[in-house]
Amino acid sequence: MNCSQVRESLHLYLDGELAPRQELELEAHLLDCECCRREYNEVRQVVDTVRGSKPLYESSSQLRETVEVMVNRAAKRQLNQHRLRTVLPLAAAACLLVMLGVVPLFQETSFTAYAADVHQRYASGKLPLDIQSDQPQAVSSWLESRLTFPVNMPNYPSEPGEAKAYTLTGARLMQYDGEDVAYLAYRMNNRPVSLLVGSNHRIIPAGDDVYRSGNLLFHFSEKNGLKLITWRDGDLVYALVSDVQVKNAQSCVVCHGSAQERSRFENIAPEPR
Amino acid sequence: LAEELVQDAFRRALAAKVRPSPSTLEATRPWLFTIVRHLWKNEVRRRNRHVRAISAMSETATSVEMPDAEVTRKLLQSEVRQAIDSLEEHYREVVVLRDLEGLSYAAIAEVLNCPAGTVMSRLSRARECLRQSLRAAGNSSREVAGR
Repeated sequence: MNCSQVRESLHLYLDGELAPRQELELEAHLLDCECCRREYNEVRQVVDTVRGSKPLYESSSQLRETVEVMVNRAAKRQLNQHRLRTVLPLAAAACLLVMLGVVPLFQETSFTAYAADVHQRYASGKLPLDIQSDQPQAVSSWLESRLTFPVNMPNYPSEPGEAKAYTLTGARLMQYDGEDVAYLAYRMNNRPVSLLVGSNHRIIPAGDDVYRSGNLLFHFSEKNGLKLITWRDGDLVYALVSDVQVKNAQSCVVCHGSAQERSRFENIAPEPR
Repeated sequence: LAEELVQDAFRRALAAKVRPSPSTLEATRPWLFTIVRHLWKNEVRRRNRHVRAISAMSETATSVEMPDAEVTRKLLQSEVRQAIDSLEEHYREVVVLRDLEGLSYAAIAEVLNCPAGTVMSRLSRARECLRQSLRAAGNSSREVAGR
């Protein structure tokens, strides 16, 4: 490649659109040509600056909720028609021209399916943990050094003199659609309970029954006899899986049943459809 | 307006009889962007006047106490946003789709209904404009800081 060809290909190179052989030729030229190298660095700086400033445009939580409800309703309607998979990779709808931010929705039903599958693998002993510890702080530190998002470990207080209903067992890193998610293993009454935590950029909560508690919307569903609860809190989406045999919001009280905590859930109520 | 368009786009996407195949994220995103873009174009035509692409989204106020790094990041975001907003529409589209949304050239070409070569040339020109805008913004920031 000569200088002219390199200048024409710089953007393709930065965007990963060059063929491997052309990439090598361009890189070889950059090694030898200071002038082109300077140009490359300047272009790269612009691109890095723009990409590094994301998210430039953020959608409101109200819009996200509205779209989530629309997606969930459509999913329910079409479940019976066996078209769910063709309906819902309703991914990001950024408004390019209106410069609105993105609402990157993923196939939320597949995330609940994924969470149920992960839980079953763990329950059957086929999913070893990366770290085994019952100390939330130790597990949290371990995850923090490996994830791009902070994981706030649920650590609700129990009543004085009363043991927690659940204990932490450990954690491991998982991948969902190419992105890291944290898998946290708990035990309650000697039964496994799983909690998956991921970034909300690609996952949205979903479930047949929706309950509101304060600003949080909890989505309840069942899969293969398992109870699933998904919800968003800040930038994170959580999926809780267990085989607790109680219905919907009552399952919150199973873990958070102390007098102190119960008040947190007394105002939980079905979200009008 | 922006939020209404997104809602409308999702409504139409969910009601659509024909959807992208295979039903993957890669195939679905350009399709959704195309719907949003058509809605936007229709809206512009309906209004029959120049509509600036201004986000109605609320920005986080920087007046509250924030760590220095956060303030710097907000300032940089503001500069980048101004630079992108000042681009001509056909340049702004490719930058947003490529650098903010991460679409491939082929996907962008699909959204904009133009050849991939056009995407490439527009992106090259758009980034050159951004380079100049950001350089100018950087210079003025330094001047302000130096006073």
